[in-house]
Amino acid sequence: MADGGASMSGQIEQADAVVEVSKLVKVFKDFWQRPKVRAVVGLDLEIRKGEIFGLLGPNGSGKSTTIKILLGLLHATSGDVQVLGRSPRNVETKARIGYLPEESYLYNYLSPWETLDFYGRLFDIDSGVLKQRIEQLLEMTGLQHAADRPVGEFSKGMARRVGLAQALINDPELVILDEPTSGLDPVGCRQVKDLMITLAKRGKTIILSSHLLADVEDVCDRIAILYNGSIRAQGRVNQLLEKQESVRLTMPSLPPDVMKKVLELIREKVGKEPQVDHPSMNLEQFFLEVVEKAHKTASSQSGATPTDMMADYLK
Amino acid sequence: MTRIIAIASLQIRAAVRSKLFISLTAVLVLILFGLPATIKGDGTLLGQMKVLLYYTLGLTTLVLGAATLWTSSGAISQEIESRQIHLVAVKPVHPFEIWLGKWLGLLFMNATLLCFTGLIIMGLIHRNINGAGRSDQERRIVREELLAGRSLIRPRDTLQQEAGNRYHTLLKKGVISADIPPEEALSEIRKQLLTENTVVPPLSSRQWVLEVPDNLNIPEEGDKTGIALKLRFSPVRAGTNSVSGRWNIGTERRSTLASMVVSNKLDGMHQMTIPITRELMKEVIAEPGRKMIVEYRNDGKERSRTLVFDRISGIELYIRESGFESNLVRALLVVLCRLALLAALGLAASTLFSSPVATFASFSILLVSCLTHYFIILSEAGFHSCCAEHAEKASKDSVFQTANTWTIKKVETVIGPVMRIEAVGPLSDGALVSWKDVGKAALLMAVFYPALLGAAGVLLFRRRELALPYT
Amino acid sequence: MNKIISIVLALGIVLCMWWSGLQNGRAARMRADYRLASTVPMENAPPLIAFTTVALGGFSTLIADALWFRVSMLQDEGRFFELVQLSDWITKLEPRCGEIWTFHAWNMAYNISIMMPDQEDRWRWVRRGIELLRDEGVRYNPGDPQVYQELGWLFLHKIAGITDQTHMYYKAMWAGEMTALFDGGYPDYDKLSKQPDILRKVTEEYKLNPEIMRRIDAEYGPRDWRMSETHALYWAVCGRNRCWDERGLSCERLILQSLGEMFKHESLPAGPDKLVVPLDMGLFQKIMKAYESARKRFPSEKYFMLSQAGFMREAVVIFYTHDRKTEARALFDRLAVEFPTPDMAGGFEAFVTAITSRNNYK
Repeated sequence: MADGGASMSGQIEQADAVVEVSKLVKVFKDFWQRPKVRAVVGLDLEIRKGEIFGLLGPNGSGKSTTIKILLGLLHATSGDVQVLGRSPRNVETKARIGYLPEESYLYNYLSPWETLDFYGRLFDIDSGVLKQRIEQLLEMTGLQHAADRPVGEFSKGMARRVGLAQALINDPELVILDEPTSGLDPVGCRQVKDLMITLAKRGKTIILSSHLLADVEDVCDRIAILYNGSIRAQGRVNQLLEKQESVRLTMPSLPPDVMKKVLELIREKVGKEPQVDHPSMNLEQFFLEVVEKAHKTASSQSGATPTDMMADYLK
Repeated sequence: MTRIIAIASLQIRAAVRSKLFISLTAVLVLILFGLPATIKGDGTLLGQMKVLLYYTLGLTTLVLGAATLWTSSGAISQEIESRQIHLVAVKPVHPFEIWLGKWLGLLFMNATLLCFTGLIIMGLIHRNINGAGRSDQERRIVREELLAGRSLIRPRDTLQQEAGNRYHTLLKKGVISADIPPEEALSEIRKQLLTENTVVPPLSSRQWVLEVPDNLNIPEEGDKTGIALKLRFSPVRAGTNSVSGRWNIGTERRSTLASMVVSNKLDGMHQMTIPITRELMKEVIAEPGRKMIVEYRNDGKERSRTLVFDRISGIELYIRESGFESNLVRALLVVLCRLALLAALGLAASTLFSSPVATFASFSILLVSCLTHYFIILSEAGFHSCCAEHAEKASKDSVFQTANTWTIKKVETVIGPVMRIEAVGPLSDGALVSWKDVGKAALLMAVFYPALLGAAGVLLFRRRELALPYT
Repeated sequence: MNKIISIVLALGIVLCMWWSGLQNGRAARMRADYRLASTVPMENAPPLIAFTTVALGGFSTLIADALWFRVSMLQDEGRFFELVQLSDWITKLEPRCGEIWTFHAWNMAYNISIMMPDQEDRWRWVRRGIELLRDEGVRYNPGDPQVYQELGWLFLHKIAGITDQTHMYYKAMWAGEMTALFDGGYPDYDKLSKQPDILRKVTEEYKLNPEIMRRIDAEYGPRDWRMSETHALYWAVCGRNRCWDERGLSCERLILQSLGEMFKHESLPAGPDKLVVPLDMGLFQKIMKAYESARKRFPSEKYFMLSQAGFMREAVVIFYTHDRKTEARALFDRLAVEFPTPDMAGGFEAFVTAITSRNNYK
């Protein structure tokens, strides 16, 4: 869960809307303009500055369609869409957006350096600044050793890192990430999640679409669950997931006689048998500890190198 | 500008790293070195060199044109299909910047290949000229007639006007009856005038007027002015060895600034070249109207027969205005402009269709354009009557034929100006490809038509949804 | 709805295929008539010919048309430098069509050569025409009498004839080449077989078969191979050998025409020591024999009978002018019996006088 707390959520509630969608409808038509698929039906959505917003839903629910409309890659059939106060197809708006698609649609014959340089130049970034950013991003994504190899030779995970780097090259205000952790190892996944949290703390808005519910739960402030083109549930993660009807206490291990007294008290007051077990760390945490230990003793590797460094310009 | 250059650089990188560039270079090498080894000339050095130039440059243009059309047809459509365009379209890039960047990238690639071609051709020409087995005279002819940029001046063709004037005069006098169809009478008058204008019987003379251009520069030094008068004529009766007369060259005020006697020439079509001196040209230029008067007097002596002059190239004034190298550069620039147009056509198709359909559409447009123009040329040359300017409309034309003719003429109106611009042919004839020609080519083929195609392409691109699931 | 449209379109496709199939028979017949599709594959054909005849299929004709149009255009403009190559390509595109070969050879040797101002250039174009047929036309159309006939005609009419003003130059050039080759006009075949370099030149460059030459010498000679009529005879004989029955008719005619010209007393231009070929009486007998043989082979063909009559009439005058009056009178008597004409009624002297006056008037 995002490390926000009540004050952060309060700030977000009062922040300006970065994305405003009202009664959005998207109908895909065939060559003869006959309706074929109603992908989005009357979607209302508001994403505020500084929050990490998760878009969830089963396959075909309209998540990707909605994202593509926000990016101007698709046209809305009806409804109103505003991104950063303007139409999604406005060129100036695009200068403030970073996008990582579901698949890394990169140019296979370009190296990571060339890729970042190309996309950076599309933002008209000063060459000196661009060079610095590329170096930092390559270091952040652990690709500095493979900076001159064609992306076509990379594994999926390495290509995703390049994709993530290009999404951040322009220090965007709004970052749209579609399955950002897809293909990444657990270390990479954790880095991406930490990155998202850090970016959000800096006031950037992140829209995250993912099937990995654990990742979404980990980082998102608010989520929306889509089904059949419309939102079925929307709200703060902790509020949506909280079971108000029960309470969990976590404490150090108690001596058996103290434990017995506590349990008797609960039985007497509540009238139900409480569930007692030892809390456990999740698999991700365990994995990261093992890898951390191994990294300290291992030599260099050919692929992406794990790093906990964050690009300076993004801090 | 940075974005456009970035996209152009990407396009060039794609061509180089996909081995397209190297493949094209290999094909060009094969053409430039292989073709001259297989082509048959007419046995003369001049003929050999003309054929070498025409076919190597012609085939190079064809290959590069096909490659350009193919590449441009897939430049945008393939990126849409592979979704690589998504990461570009979400950046602050205008659609016209994408289009322009791709177009410039293709242009740069073609320019590089054409430079390479030009250098190789220069080398081949010099090697052939200086090679063994050829006489000095042959080399001299090649240097003067081929390795030069010569502009050509012919007497103004006033046949139509003269025919019209005579028709009206004869009609007024009552010589021609009013009930004779005008086209028929004009046709007969044209034939008569042709005879009068191209035939010089004994004891008669004929004059031709050549208007010298305003911007003619005469070299101040050296023996040769690079200006020559070329004459093509033959005696009427074969089997006689009899041409006797005098050529006078001058101005309206002074008709005999230069003279040459002609006699005892071989029958058959005869060619004569008369070098024009600096002094004569200065006199001509000094005259108002800058008219050179060329006169032939058939002296009617015992062996003198009627002379017939070639209607098109009977009298020609050749003015050497540039060397071969600069002429070649200009010709290559015209070729580059043509390739620019093809790139624009392919890119426009690419924005609308998928890759294979865009390729098919653009090649079809090219084929239809070329065939239409070819058909028009056939008609004008008299091989087919349907589309010729003065063709009589058959009263029994079907609706299909009428529609066909109309369509062909309209297509020719659009593409004719482009198709008529030639560079390879004139270069291989030693004719001047002027900067004016280059400018015209650039304006039409590198600016006007690509701008139209680009505008259409950008409009279609803007309207197109790049993330449709079935693209 | 989609299904209905699909069915309609499928029916349309079937209809179109049926209709095009109906045209196939007609197209095949036309191709056979114009010999545009050979059922016999070309053996040992070079790659270009194999490509044009197999890979291009019917498109080769379209391309040939386009190139031919360019030939006409260039020729009208007086730009000849490309015509050799274009003619080469057109013939390669339709290698089995004898008319195309003969047309282009004739075009070069007659139409283009006459446009050249210099005799060297004219000879060059006449040679081009000959080489096109001799080196390639015969090779790809070994059984086409038209090719042999045209080739022979180029030697007989263009070089040996007198209509071209430059004919003496052609004769001199050809005689010079043959002299250099055979060391004179009468080859020593035994010596030739022992000179591999010259033999190779004879067979590969001039495409002459010494065995056929020897047979021609045996049957009609020995012939002077410096004379272009002899080469016309050679190619006509080659054509007749490769073609049977009526197909060899044109070659048979050319044989007799060549022999007739040889008999008519030609002299070779050779500068100061101008050669004069004497009247060959032995040849006369051979020509008569050839006529008999031709008339037997082609009994329905009136040409040979009329041609023989014409030859005999000319021979009477030739004998007379060469002071062989006895042979002339004997021939006249024979002529009066076999081919009587009204102008013979006045008798031998009157006949000769009339013919001589008519020839002088011409």
